[in-house]
Amino acid sequence: MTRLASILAAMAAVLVVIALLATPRPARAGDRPLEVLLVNMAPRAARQDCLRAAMRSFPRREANVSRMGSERVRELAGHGDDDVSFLDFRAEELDAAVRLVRSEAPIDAVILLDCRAEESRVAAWIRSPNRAVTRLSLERTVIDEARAAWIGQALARAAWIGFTP
Amino acid sequence: MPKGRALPHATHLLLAVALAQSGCSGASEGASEPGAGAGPALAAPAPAAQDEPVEAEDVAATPAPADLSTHEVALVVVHDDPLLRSEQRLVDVIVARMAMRRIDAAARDADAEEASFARAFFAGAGDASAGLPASLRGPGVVLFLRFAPQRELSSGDRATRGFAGALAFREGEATPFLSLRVDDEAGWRGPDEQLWPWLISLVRAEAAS
Repeated sequence: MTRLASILAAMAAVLVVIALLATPRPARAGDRPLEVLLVNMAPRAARQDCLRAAMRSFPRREANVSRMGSERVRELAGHGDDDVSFLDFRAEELDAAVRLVRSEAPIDAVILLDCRAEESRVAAWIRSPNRAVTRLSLERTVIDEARAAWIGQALARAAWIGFTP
Repeated sequence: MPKGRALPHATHLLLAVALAQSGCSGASEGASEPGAGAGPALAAPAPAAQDEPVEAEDVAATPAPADLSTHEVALVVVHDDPLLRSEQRLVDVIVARMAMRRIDAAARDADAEEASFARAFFAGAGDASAGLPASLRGPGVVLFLRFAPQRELSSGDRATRGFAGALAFREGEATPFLSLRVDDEAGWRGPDEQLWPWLISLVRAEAAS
């Protein structure tokens, strides 16, 4: 009798484990990585170190980052022939560029970044998933590794505002 | 940049901790309600997003004007509506957190000239030719903080929409070395949302340089 009870208990335990594994997990925030369009707005001749350093502190495991050229983005935003600063772009002007990106899910956030450590300046334009825009610029400021990491944190902060996967 | 100031008194530090903690609890007040009165010079309002419950707030008592000229960091607050208690508390938290980082800071509301000067820069059209208003030409960093226009609840009460931007000027400079302009819906609000440690670390580095 005791042996039969043990077998039944073991079978019940196995069934519980199978049931738990088979039950679909309810969707939760964070189930899908953030889809980000990143555009390097620095001139071609500018060094890439600053952008790389900033993006090192961006949580890449939780985001899929797509890239697009700055000239293409300016053109799609309707500023191919003018010299309007990208910091003055409106949120909806990036819609055309976002539609062209091939990503696993629709683009949630857009980051335009001009990071030039050699000129001690950084400019960043971030469109959050709720379409609010954050504009950040640093001038005449030493951009070292720590400051670049600081910028990456700011990009991440703004890129996740209103993200509901 | 003056250095070597006296450390904050122990009671000041205790007050700083208490303020910081009270600020954390108030940080989630207010919600990003899209389409409700974006600032005059910022981008268009965003479409519908998540709503959070908000509570009506009391208007804070107007703080006594502070002399900012002798401090390492002069915090000048720009706002469209009378500050709510949570907004005043947020300013207090920033000053307190700076004190905890041994930054000698003081805050007060912008006067008309200062507000006009800062609003132009927040609109992306600042005029550097005239330089900082004379009232702010002290030896330290000048940090303008702007609150977004408040939202009006159906009850007629007002609720904060949080922080909407920052400008930081070094001594003797007429253009900001830091400019942060945030759409009203972006919701960079409380001390737990990375902004204040982030901003303070920059100011700390500047004050130490």
